[in-house]
Amino acid sequence: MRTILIVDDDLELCALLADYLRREDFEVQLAHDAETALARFARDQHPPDLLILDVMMPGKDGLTALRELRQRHQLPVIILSARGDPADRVVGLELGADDYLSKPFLPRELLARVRALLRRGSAGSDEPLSVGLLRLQPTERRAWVGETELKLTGAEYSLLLALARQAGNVVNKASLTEEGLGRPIERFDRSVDVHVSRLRRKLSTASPLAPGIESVRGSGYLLTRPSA
Amino acid sequence: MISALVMGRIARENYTTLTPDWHDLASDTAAIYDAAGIDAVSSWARPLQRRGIQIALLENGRNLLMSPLPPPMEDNLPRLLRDSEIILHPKSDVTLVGLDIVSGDRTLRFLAMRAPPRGSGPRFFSPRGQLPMLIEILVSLFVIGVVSWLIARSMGKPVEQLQRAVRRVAAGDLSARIGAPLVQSKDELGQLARDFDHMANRIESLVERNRWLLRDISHELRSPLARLQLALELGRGEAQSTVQPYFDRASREIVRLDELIAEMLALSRAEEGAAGMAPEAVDLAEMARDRLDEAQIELDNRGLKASLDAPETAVLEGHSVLLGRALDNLISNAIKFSPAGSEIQLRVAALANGVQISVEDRGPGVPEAELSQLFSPFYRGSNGLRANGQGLGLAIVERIVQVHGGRCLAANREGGGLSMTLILPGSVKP
Repeated sequence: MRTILIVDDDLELCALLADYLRREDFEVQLAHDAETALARFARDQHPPDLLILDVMMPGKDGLTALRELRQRHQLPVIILSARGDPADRVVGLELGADDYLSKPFLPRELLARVRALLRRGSAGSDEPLSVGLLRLQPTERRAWVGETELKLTGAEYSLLLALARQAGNVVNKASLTEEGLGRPIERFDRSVDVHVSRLRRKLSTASPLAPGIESVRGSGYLLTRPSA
Repeated sequence: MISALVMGRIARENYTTLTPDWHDLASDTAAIYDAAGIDAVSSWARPLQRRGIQIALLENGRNLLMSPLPPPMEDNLPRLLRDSEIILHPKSDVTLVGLDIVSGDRTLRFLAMRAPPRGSGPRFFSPRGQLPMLIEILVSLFVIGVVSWLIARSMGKPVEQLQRAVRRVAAGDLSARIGAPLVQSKDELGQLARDFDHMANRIESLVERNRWLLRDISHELRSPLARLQLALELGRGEAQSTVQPYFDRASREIVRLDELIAEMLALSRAEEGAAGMAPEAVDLAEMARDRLDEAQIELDNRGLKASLDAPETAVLEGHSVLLGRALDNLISNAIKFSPAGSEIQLRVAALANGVQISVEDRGPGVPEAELSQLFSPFYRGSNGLRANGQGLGLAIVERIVQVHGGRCLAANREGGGLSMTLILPGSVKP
């Protein structure tokens, strides 16, 4: 059974959400502030499989907690916000969240996103593949540039895999959203763009010779094949 | 004021230090009397009067000049006639002179009085001619110049400091303050600086509080909605299939309420305007391309086409988040009202002084009489077609355009459909 940790200071919401997810056969843990959640990650040998994190909490806020968490853990993270500030979404994704939902959300939509992030790229072949210096090992969900291993979140890995499978061709944003985030694209959905910009940064930091990701206006993105 | 002060001082000094030579004056008078008679003396006396000197000529106590003696002279007449030569000072600024002069075989008594002219202050008195006066004027002008320069210099720096702070606040930096040393100064400029800083504090805290309030309202309203949505979903799982439509309805109402909150917050943010945000260069042509790309999914879903007519760039100073929102709202409306298979036209054009953006659809349009109400909050057209939105979309657009100093126009198109135009002023960078 997959374990989900919910971090939210809204106790009633936590209780309702826990009931809902338990009914869908998840094991649910609760924390009501960021410090407690981070302490649990530091202590537990077996971290949860997925984290649902509220942005606005007293004490340390969700975004700060996410930044600290990302230094060690690459587990899938969905952030929730009731603040309604579009900037939160971008900031959250830039800090390494895999997905974002604003409150109030349709519970079924949250469930779909949770399942999408936990269903780790079962589609496609499991054959290792490489594009220039970049190598991906789908069975282990690991990626390298030369000898350097990339530290990727679930969504980033899925996006990179989708781009690598079509290397040299444009992959549109709708299918990247499907494959990377496991859900249909929405209007004003910048999630893929933010994930791709993080990916670019990680690739170029690993090596200046790593393949780049180009954006094609109105279509999507493509992973460049080395010309050599 | 300063020049009056300086001139007055110079004049007063001249008055007391430069004394006319009374003997010369007396013999001149006698010579004129001898040569041309008493009428010539009275006309000679007139310019002297303007310099504060009055003269009289007596023969055996009889006044030869027809005018009456001035009162101080009249009052002191016995003493003035006593000795062959006498100078009296009945008041500190009044000099009376009595002299015997000889004209032919007669002895005449010459009387003179020097007193400050009545009514006005002391006048220039320079019996030695015009040249020293010119020098005095030049000196005084020089002094005035130096003093003015010193004052201008002492005011220029604080005024510049004030101006800098005012401009920074106007540009959106609400943390700008004048601060030391000007606010410690005790003069009027120091007071103005203190008042300015006080005002800036208030504006900053109001804007800040408003911003927090918006976030809190959003949080406080949306958290219960989130719980409600979850509670409904849990209840739905236990409920019979006959009541499922009611759960669907309740869930949809929560979504609508959430949209309404979002739009009211957006309107409120637009009303708050760009306070506290510095304007930036916004490429409206680029923005139009981006926004149309974003809308592509929705266009495809509805079976609509879209065309864009825009220059390479159309850069304007503005607030990109707000302008993007305005454009999104116009595109959303056009999509909402367009019949399947029709085309939406988006145009961006550089004007002489600004940019014009228009979004045109082939929807039902709006009755002419209602065009002007289109931008009112919660306005809904009477022609039966209700949008799914909350009726705030165009109010938000108008507010955003107003914040940028522009205006919105709505018109029905020839051949059917609505044309919405935004005119945004500003210098357009190529």
